[in-house]
Amino acid sequence: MFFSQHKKGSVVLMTMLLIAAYLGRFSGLDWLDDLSMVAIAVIGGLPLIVRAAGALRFKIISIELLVSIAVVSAIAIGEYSEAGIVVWLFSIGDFLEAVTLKKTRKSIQELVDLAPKTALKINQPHERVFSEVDIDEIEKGDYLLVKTGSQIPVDGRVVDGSGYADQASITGESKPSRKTIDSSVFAGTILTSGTLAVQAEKVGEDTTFGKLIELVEEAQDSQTKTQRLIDRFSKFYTPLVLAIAAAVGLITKDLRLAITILVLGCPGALVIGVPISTVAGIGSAAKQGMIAKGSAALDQLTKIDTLVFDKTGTLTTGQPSVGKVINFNGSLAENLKILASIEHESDHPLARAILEYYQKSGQKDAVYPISNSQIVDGRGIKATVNGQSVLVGNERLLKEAGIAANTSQLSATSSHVLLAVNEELRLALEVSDQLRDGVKDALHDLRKLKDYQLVLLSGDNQAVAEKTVAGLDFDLVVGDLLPVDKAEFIKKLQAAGHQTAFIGDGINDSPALSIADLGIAMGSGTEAAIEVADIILVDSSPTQLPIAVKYAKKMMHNMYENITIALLTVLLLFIGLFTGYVYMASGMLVHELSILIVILNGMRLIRHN
Amino acid sequence: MKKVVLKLNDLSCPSCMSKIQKAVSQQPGVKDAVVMFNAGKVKAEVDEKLIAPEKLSSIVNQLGYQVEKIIVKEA
Repeated sequence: MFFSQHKKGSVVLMTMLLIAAYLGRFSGLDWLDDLSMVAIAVIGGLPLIVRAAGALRFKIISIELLVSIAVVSAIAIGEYSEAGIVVWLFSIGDFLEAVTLKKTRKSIQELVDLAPKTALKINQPHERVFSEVDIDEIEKGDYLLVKTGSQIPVDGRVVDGSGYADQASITGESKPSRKTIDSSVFAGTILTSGTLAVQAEKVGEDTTFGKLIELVEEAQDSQTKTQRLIDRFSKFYTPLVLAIAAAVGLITKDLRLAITILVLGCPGALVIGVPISTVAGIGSAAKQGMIAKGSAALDQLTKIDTLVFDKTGTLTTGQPSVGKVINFNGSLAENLKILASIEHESDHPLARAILEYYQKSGQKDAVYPISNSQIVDGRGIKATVNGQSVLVGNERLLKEAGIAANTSQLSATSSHVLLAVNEELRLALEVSDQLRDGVKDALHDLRKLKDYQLVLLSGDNQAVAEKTVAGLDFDLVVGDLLPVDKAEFIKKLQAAGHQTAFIGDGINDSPALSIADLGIAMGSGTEAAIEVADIILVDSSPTQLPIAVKYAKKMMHNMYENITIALLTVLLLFIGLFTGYVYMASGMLVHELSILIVILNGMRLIRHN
Repeated sequence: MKKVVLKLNDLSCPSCMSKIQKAVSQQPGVKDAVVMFNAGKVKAEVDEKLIAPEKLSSIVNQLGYQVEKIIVKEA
C-alpha cells in the first residue's frame, strides 16, 4: 500500500541512486557503485517481494515472483549492478505504463467525470433552502433542487418549476428539451435554463447515464477470442518460465543464465498489447457516438458481408410529420382546430404529428371540448364537437359513412387523415415518415468499403417499402414482414453462409437484432433494442455506420500489430540470450521498450481522430 | 447472493489482473469474479453466508492494491 502511493517518489529516488552508482563507477569509488545499486535493489525490490509473497499465499506465481527471485539471487552471487538495474527498469517500466495507460483511459474517464458528484437536497417539493450532499447519500424518493447551468443529478420526475434541459449526453440530441411538472429528467444532463425541483427515481449506477458508463466500461474490458487465448497462455506461461529457469540452472550450473531467463520471461507486451488496442479503439469510437458492447463486436463488424436494415425508425426518423394539407370546405383554421380537438384525446402516433403541426401553425393549444368520442377499429374516430358530428380517419371510414373523398393528390406512401363534419368532407392531410439525413451517402460509403449485400426489411407493405427507398442502392427490399419473419429472414441469410448484421430500433426488431451475427441499434431506439444490440449508434445517424466499419478495421489491425510486436520481442530476446548478445539488464530494457511500443501503437487509435 | 463491486486504484500491470482474478475466484462463495483492467474494478457475485463482501476487499489489499470504494448490491 505504502509503496504504490509513493511510486513516483521511489522512481525518482532510484534514478538518482543510479546516477550516483555510475558516478562512483567512473570515479573509481566501487563502494559508492555497489552501495547505490544495493539501495536501488532494496527500495524497488522490497515492494516486489511483498507483492510476490502476497500472490504466493493464494498459490499464484506472479511476474513479481520471477523478478524477486532474480534480484535476490543476483545479490547473493554479488552481481549488485545487475540487481539494481533490473529493479530500476522494472519500476520505471511500471511507472511509465501507468502514465501512458492513463492517457488511453482518458476517454472513459471523461465520461465518468461527467457523472454528477453532489446534489442539492430539499425536504419538500416547494422548499428552496437546500443542503449540498454527496451523490451517494441520495436515495430514491428524495427531493432535489436543480439550478440553471447545473447538472441534473438523478433520473427522476419534475415536481415543481420548469425549464429546458440539454440532454445531449444521453440522447445525442442537442436541441434543449422542455421540462415541466411530471416531465422525466435524466442524470448527467444539464439544465440550461429555469429551476426544477425533482424527485429521485433512480440514483447512481441505476440511472440511464450510469448504465451507459457501465456499458462502455464493460465493453473496454471485454475480450476478443484472441485475447482470451493469450490470457490462457500467460496463465501457464509464468510457472513455465520458472520451471525452465530452474531446469537450465540445475543442468548448466550457470546461475546467471537461469536468472536472466527469469527476468526476460515476463510476458508484458503480449498481455498488454491486445487490451491496449481495445481500450483505445472502443474509447475513441464511443467519443464519436458509437458504443460497441465489446471488442468482439468490432471484431465481428469487420467480418460482416450482409447488412440488413429495418425501415421505420432506422432509415427513417420514425417520427411522422404532416406533409401536404388540402382544405376542401370551410375555413382551414377552424377545420384544423376541430381536427386537433379530436386528436388531442388520442394517443395514436399520427395524432402527435398532427398536434405538432397544429401548434406550429400558430394556433397555440386551444381546443374544443369533445363528447361521444368512439374509436372505429382500423379506421379512425367518431365524435361530437360543438354539437356537430365529426369523423376523423382514413378513406375507409368516410367511404363506409357514405362520404365521397378523392385523395389522389396525396402521396401514396404516406398515411392519410381525413376530416368530415356533418357528413361533409372538410380537410385531408398526409402524414409521412421522412428518411434520415445522409442515408444515401451512408449506403454509398459502405459500398465503397466493401462489396456488401444491402437488404431492407419492413413491416409496411411492399409498395410502401419500395417507394420509401426509391433511388437508394438496395439489393433487395422486402415488405409485409412480421417481427418473427424478420428474424427468419436473417436465419436464411446465415444458412446461406452470410455474416449478417441487422440494423434496427424497435422492440419488434429485437429478435432479429439478437439472431443476427451482429446487432446494431439506433440510439433513439427502444430500450429493448439497445439492450440486445452489440453496437449502438448514439446519434441514430446512418452515416455513422461506414465510420464504425472503418474504426473496427483500424482497431483490429492495431491489435494484430501489437501481437506481432510482442511475439517478435520474445523471439529476439531468446535468440539473443542463447547466442550471448543479450544480458539481464539489456534484455530487461528491450522488454520494457516493447511494452511502451505496444502502448504507443495503441494510442495512435486515439490520435487519429 | 450479493453483487460486489470493488473500485481500485488504476491497475497498470496486466499481470495484476490475472493475479487478483485468481485470488478472488479461489474464495469459497465467490462466483463470476471479473477484474476489469481498464475500469480498475473487480466485480463478483458472492454468497454472503460463506464470505463477507469486506473480505474480498481485504484480500485485494493483501495482494498490494488499494481498494477505494466497495459497493454491495442485492443480486
